[in-house]
Amino acid sequence: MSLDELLREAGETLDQLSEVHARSLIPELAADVRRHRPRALALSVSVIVVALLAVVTGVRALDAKPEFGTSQREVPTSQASSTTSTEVPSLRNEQLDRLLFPTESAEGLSIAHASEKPDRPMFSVADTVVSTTGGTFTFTATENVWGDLPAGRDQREVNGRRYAVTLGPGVTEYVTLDRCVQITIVDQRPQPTAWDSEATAFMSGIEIVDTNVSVTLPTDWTTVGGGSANAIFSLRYAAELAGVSREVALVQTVFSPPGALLASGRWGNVSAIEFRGTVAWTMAPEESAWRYLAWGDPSGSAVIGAPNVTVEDLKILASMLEPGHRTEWQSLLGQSDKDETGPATTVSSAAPCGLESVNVHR
Amino acid sequence: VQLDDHRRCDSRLDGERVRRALVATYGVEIGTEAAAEALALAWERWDSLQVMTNPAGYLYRIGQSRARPHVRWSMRRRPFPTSGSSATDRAHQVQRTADSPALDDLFAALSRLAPDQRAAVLLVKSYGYSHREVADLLGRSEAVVNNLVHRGVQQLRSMMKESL
Repeated sequence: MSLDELLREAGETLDQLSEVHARSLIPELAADVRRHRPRALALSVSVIVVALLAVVTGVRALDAKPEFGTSQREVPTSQASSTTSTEVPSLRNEQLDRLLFPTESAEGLSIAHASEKPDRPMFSVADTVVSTTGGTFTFTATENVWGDLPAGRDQREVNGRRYAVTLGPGVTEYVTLDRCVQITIVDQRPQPTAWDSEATAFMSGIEIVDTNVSVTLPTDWTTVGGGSANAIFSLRYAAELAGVSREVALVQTVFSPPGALLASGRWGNVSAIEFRGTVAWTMAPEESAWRYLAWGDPSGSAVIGAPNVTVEDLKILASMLEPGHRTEWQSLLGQSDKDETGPATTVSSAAPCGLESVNVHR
Repeated sequence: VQLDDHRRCDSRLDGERVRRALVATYGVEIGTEAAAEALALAWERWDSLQVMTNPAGYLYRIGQSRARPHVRWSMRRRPFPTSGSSATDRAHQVQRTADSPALDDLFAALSRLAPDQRAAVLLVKSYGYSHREVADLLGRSEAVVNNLVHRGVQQLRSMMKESL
């Protein structure tokens, strides 16, 4: 083997090792937060952004009707094309009132991550869809921040649109661009083959007209239910389960449906279950002891997870949560009412581009 | 818990390039963690970063500042995996062939290069980035990068005479 060939193989190997190491940080994060080590917060934010390195896993078929998803859903985004500036009222206190908070046997509460919604129409709409074979794809529609498709990546035309694929360790991601809009599709199946029939079938249903995106799903595909991607709040704590203390991760967003929250990460195998009389989802990342339960209601959506637990355990952990704990959230976030009632955010919408609507059809 | 907040900076700032550069410079563990912290910062400071002419280079330097406190400790061991190391065992789990003798020799040889030289060689030869892209990342001129790659490859060939 030549040195050039060896060097290319070394690059692939380092990518793989980096991915594995990134994933290995996750349980360490939980332990760090519990112990309040100084580096815990920085590390926890770090873990959140290493999703690119994380493993992509598949899902089982979801044959239940999605809670938020409908056969035809119009998802208005935060900003339409306009030449005026708009005063956007702060939703922070309302968000905090709706956020779930652990009420029983919780110790070592620490904010692992809290994000503001971007004040530009980036990262604005997301959804999760499931194929007839159980393969999961997530997509986000955002402002076009790439400009042009990257020349160094494999590009193909699907139904008249040009797509570029990014193949990384555990990541197969497709991007298509319009003048204003960028669609990013992440193939969440385990070890997917780029440009295979399911991926191209999904891509073939995507149309972009000006600032409007239309997604026609292949026959019998399911949408988990997408929508605007709002601020995400992530909490770590320890909770007692059957007398045993467990590390718990709680990730939630207000007014965003589960499809949008799930599209914000790589959670592993997804299965539909019934929870509180409606459909919810369980996720089991490969090579991880962590298991997760995701659900939604009119206030938003949440994911709760813990290592080495059953679905029933997760349901119990979910039952320990309740909304209406603004003071506790403010304390954790280091903020006060005064902070939250300050001037409303001003969003300049003078940009000629943006994203007006996304329609997902079946 | 893995979130995709990185995505908006990744597309513009090419977070993958930053991560690869930091891994090439500091090794898998320190480089990966430094890159994650740098990209977390990118999220928090997006408004500032988006007007920069070289945001990837800025993030690389942030990653360097995060990695440096750990470098002295890490010098006690090789930054890259070889057969039998825990990292290589992990590689097996993801079905890589990191235990090939030639690849082991290459990692050993890479470990003996200066960090900048190693980064330049890996970024150009392993990942195919242009000299311009690597120069922006490392904060060096294209001529220096060209020299680093040329001499680095020569040294690798010399160290790996018997493996190639």
